This record gives sequence, C-alpha cells and structure tokens, in this order.
Amino acid sequence: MIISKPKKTKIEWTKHLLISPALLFFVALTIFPLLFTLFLSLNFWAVSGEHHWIGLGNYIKLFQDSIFLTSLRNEFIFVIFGVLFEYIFGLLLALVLNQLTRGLRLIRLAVILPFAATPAVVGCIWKMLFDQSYGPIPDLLHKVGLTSPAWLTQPLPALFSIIIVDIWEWTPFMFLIIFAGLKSLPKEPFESAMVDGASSWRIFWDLTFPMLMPTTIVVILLRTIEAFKIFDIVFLTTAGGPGIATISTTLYAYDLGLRTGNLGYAAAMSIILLIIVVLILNVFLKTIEWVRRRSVLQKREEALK
Amino acid sequence: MKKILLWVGVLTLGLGLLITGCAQPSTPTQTISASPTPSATPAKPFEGVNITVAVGSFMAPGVKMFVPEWEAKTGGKITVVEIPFGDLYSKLLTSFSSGAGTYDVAIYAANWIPDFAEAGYIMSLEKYYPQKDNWNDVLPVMQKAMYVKGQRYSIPMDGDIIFGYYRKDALENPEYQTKFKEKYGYDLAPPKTWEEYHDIAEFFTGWDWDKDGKPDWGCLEALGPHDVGPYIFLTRAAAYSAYPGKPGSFFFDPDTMKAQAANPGFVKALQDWIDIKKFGPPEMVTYGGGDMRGNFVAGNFALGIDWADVGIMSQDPEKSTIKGKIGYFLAPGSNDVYNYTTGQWDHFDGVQYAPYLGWGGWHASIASTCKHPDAAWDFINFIDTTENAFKAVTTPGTARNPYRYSQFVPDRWKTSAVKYDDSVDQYLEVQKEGMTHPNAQYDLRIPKAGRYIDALDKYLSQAIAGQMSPEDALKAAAQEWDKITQEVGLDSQKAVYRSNYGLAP
Repeated sequence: MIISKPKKTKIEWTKHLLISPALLFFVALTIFPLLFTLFLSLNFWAVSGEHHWIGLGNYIKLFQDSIFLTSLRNEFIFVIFGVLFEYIFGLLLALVLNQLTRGLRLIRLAVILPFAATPAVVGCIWKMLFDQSYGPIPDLLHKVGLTSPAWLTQPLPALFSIIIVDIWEWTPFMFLIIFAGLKSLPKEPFESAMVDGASSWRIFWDLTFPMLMPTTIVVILLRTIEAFKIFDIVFLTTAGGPGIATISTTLYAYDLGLRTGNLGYAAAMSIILLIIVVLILNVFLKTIEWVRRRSVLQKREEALK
Repeated sequence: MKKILLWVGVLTLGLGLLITGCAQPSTPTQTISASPTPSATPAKPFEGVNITVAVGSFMAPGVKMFVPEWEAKTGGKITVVEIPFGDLYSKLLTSFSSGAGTYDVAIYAANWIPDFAEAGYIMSLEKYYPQKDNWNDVLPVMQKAMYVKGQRYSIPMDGDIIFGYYRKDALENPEYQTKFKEKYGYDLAPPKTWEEYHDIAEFFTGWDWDKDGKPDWGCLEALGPHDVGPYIFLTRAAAYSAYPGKPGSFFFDPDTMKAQAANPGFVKALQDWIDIKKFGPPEMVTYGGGDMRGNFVAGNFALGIDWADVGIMSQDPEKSTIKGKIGYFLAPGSNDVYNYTTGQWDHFDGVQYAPYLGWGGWHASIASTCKHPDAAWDFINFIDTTENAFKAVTTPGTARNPYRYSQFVPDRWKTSAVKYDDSVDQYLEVQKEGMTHPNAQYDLRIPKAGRYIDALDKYLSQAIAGQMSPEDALKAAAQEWDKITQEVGLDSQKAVYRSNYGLAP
C-alpha cells in the first residue's frame, strides 16, 4: 500500500501580508500596552520619567496596602451585587416586555435610556438625587415618613448608592441582550408545553431559563468584565469616599498613577486586577461547563432508565 | 494573473501605509505656525501664532475674559485648556516631564513654582520684567513667592489668603447676641479663636435664624477629598502649629526636615475639623471649593471659611441671596501654640494668628518648550495690566483675588462694573491684614509640593469619614511626607525649604 506523504502546505504569503496591518494594529494597541504595563509594574517608575528596576517590590507593597485591599473588597461587592441584580431585573424586564404586543418600541426605548446616557451625566444626576439637603430621594422618603440614610456620606449607604446607580445604568444592557435571546428561542417547545397545560413557572424553569443559558453566560461574562472596571460612577458620586469606603481599584490606580505619579505601582495594581478577572472568568466558565456536563449525563441516565 | 494583481494590491497597500506613517502628525491643540512672515509694516505682531494656555478650572473664566481682546490686538490665537482643579498638578507634571510641549503657558499655584523651576520646566522671565511697568504695585508677600534663586519665573494673577465669612443678620442680631452670651458666657462677635468658631457654629445650627422657614446651619467648609480640603484644614493647623517668630516651623522642622504633619498642633486642628461636621449639612464632607461657594451664597450658613471668592460671589445677584448681609474676619488663631522645639504647648495671653496664604495665588509661567515665548509673555502680561487685573479681581467667578496695592482701594470696588456694597471695606481690610501679618504663612513651596498635599488629602478624608483616628491619619500622612522627602532628596528639599523662609542654608 502506498502511503502518500502529506502534502506540504504552501504558506500563502499574500494572505498573511494582507492581514498584517490589522495584526500590527492589534499588537500595537493591545499586546504592547499589556506587556509594557507588566514591565512598568516591575519598576519604580515616576511620571517624570525617573525609573529603576525593583522586581516584585510593587506587588509586595500592594498586599500590605490597606487601601488597595479595601478597593478589592469594594470591587467584589460592586460586581457580585451589581451583576446579580442587573441580571435579575434585566431578565424580568425582558420576560415582561416579551409578552407585550403594543407600545413595545416606546417602552423598550424608555428602558434603554439609562444605558444611553453619558456616564458623567449619570454620576452627576445621581449625586444630586442623593443629596441630603436638596435631593428628591431623601425628600420623598421624608414625605412618606421614612428616614433617609446618608446616601453618600456614610460608608455602607455610600456603597449601596454606587450599586444602585450601577444597576440603574447597566440593567438595560442586560435587558437588551436577554430580550434578543428570548426573541431567538424557538416557539414550538413553548406551544407544546402550553398545550400540555404547563404552568408559567414550569415553562420558565424547564424551558425558558435553560434555553437562555448561552445568552445568560455571555451577558454575565461581559458584564462581570466591565463591572470590575468601575470608575466613572465612583469618581463622580463619591470620589471613593467617604474616606476610602467606596474606592475602587481602578480609581485608586488612577489616583496613584496619574495624580501622584507613581506609574509602576499603579501598573502593578492593574495587573493584579487583570489576573483576578481572568481567574474568576475561568472558574465561572469551568463551573458552567461542569454543570452542563452533569446535566447531559443525568439526562442520559434518565433516558436509559 | 490573479497572483500578480494580488501582489500589486499588497504592495500598493504597504506603500500607502508607509507614506501615512512617515507623514508629520498634525496636533490640533498645538498648531503652532511658523514665525510670522516679516513684512515692511506687520499689522499685528503675533499674526498666526497659537498659544496654548493650561489653567485650573476655577481660574479659567479669569483668563478667557481677556482672550478676545488680546487676539484682536495682536493677531495671535489663544487656546485655553481647562484642567479640573484636583488634577492640575499631575497633568502639568506629566506634560512638562514628558517634554511633550503640550502647553505654552501654565497658570497654576504659586507654591509649585520652585518645583517646576528647579526641574527646568518653566523659563525665567527676568529678561521680560524690564517691560513690566506695574511690578512695584504687587504686594511684597506675593512678589516673594515668585522668586527661585533670585529669578522670577511667573507673573502673579491672584493673591491668596484663606479667611472667614459671617452672616451679619446672625451675629449682629441683638436677640441672638443675648442668647449666645447666656449660653457661652462671652459676647457674640466674629470668632477670634477656633474655639469661638466652634461655639458660634454650634449655636446657629438647627434652627431658623434667617427666618426663611427652614432650619439653618452654623458653618460651611469644603471638607471633600480631591479638592481644596487640605488647604482649608491647613488654615486651622497653622493657628496651632505655625509658631510666631519661628519661621519654617509649620510644615517641617527646618533643621531636620522632619514632617510636622503629625504634631499635636495638627492633631488638634484635625479634631476641630471633624467636630464641625455636625454644624454643617451632611454633604459638607463631599463638598469641594465650588460647592462650598455656591451653597454659602445661597444662604443658610452663619460662618464659612474660604478664599476671597465667596466675597465676590456674594455680590452676584443671580447666585447670591446674601448681598449686604456678609461680614469678614481673619482666620481664627489660638492662645495656645505647639512649640516643635520643646515639644510643648505654649500659652499666650493674646490670640496668636497665623493667616495662611493657601495655594499661594494663581501665577502664570511660560513653559521651557514654548516656541513663541514673546507672544506668551505678551498674553500673560496683558491679563496682568493694572486695569485688567482690577477688572478680573472684581468680577465674580474668576478666582482672582486682590494682590496689588491699587486693588485694595474700596471706592474703586464700589464704582466697578459689579457694584460692591459697603462691606468691601472690611473685605479688603481683612485680606490686607492677613497678607501683611508678621506671622502670615506661605503654602508649602518645595519640589513635589503637590504630592505632599495629595498625601495629606488621602489621610484627612479617612479621618473625616471616621475610618482612622486623627492621630493615626496624620501619623500616616507625616510618614508619607518623610518618604517623599527622602525620595526627592533630603538635602535639596531642606535647602529650598529653608531659603523660602529666609533661613541660612
């Protein structure tokens, strides 16, 4: 038997050359800044240009920096509560609007307006809304006989104020993607379920939610990555205060890097945040994959029975 | 054939990219044209010259108001880049140190002049000063702030001193005076000490003393982070720490450069500052200078601490409800001052004042990278002519406060475009008294001054929020100050610091 040698694949240089500008652009704007940030993080590097190698010095200092550790804690609080409630509200909105037949366009526009607003405007508006002396929210709470918390001037209320603003701004994003996902689901399983007399809850739990899983994964992934980068809302509403109660890692990096001029230290902070985000996303994806495999195995076992 | 066409396409694309990459970039913010083409009789001296001016947000109106006239007169073009107050130091430092030459003129705090001058970021203006015909009109305390090693590096735009404001309808009300005396045992009057300030603020908190139907507050100050907070705090700290007759005792020990930020005087000042939170609105802990000014002139506060801006804004009928109701007082002092040499508090029979020239005043310098220094000088000199300077300091919202003898004439203010009321006499008197006081304290004027203030700001905000005790917060700030001093160079910092106070090296 003649076994023919595998054909040598000719390198098609013209195709490589044609995509090279885009690749160079990508390297210049993505890979190079990342590698340079990593290099910066291993140096003492002042904004004046003065620098010298310190190895892991910045990283060691970071984990002894109480403000950095506080900012990491705040990041997790913002992400966990923010993403969770944004998903829940986004899903609810999508489910409700999916049932509507009239006025959908107008309602959908109203729902996505917060997402369309400039972050700077969002921050300023909510700072005014929460103002204890002049803001309508405390005023409304007083009128209905409730005590208004010190929204922006006490640590715990300030944290939740940031989360509220974040939920207000980003729920429309969740809604848009989940709504698109809902619209793309096949109608037949739902029609069969209704014919069989399944309740709304059963339809949601057994059909809608599992079928929306790919959309859910995508939207939570995207939003989690974005949520870790929270900056504008914190900067404009509380500036990280009171004290450091609401400081985010990105705001602290900005303060240290661009205000104090300690670029190396700020770069180390950015790298740590990047590693954390990548780890969390990996764990999330692996968990989803594990859940999916278990679900498939369970269904096979049930089918065999 | 196809392959040949493909190769032609690739080569064309590559050539195109190469040509684009080699082309000179045009930078919209720095379209500095070539020097004006000489002609027999140039109509305008700086035709085609573009000058980029970087200025802190508060001061921007005080620059922009003169741009059209200068441009019409000279043919030059001014691009004003407004930088948020809290970011001004870092933005200027980044621009200067990178050598990017983004700005031709920088308008910033006088206390940063030594920093920028020592680093070679700004040029000496000595060669231009013979052209200046109104130099002697500048108050000596402002003149001194401009010199670095005998050379002037800036033109003054503003005189800064932080002092106090009070509502006359509160403190001069006979009924309130009687009640105050019953409660505190002394006469109600503008406070001379910070203890009196505390008492008056407490007295006027929580009731409707201005009869507008809403409860009012005792005081209003800018306690917010990333803004003017540190300067307002240092106004208090100076009273307890700037020992009379010991120049240089305020920020550092002038012999060792050990930071004084954690001494008992500073700690007492911070405790005082935290105590007054309850006499102002809850949002006061987030207020910057702009918030403080806008709210104070809207009414509801018996006392306030700020630069001279509140006084000018109070005259603006669109923003102010307190025109004619406002009085002024020198920043309170103390009968007890901390002596850093003995480590003890010293008691004085009379109140010891230490008026604080926070920020040092806005000054304009020309960047070393400026390609048209003559035009730049012409512009900054233009906005400091005697007439223009007076116009600026009497216009609300320019952040320019009096700094020339000719500006301390009350009658000129009463007949200016903004008709000041009679309180302008006291307004100007308090400022002049502070600026000429024998124990007046300059702001910190050593290299990296901005970093020291930022470090202080970071820990002040945590103490105000209750996350650190005043002692711990100031200890951390002092440690960071010492670290910055070591980083920059103890000997060089000490030399500059001592020279600022006229101390032998």
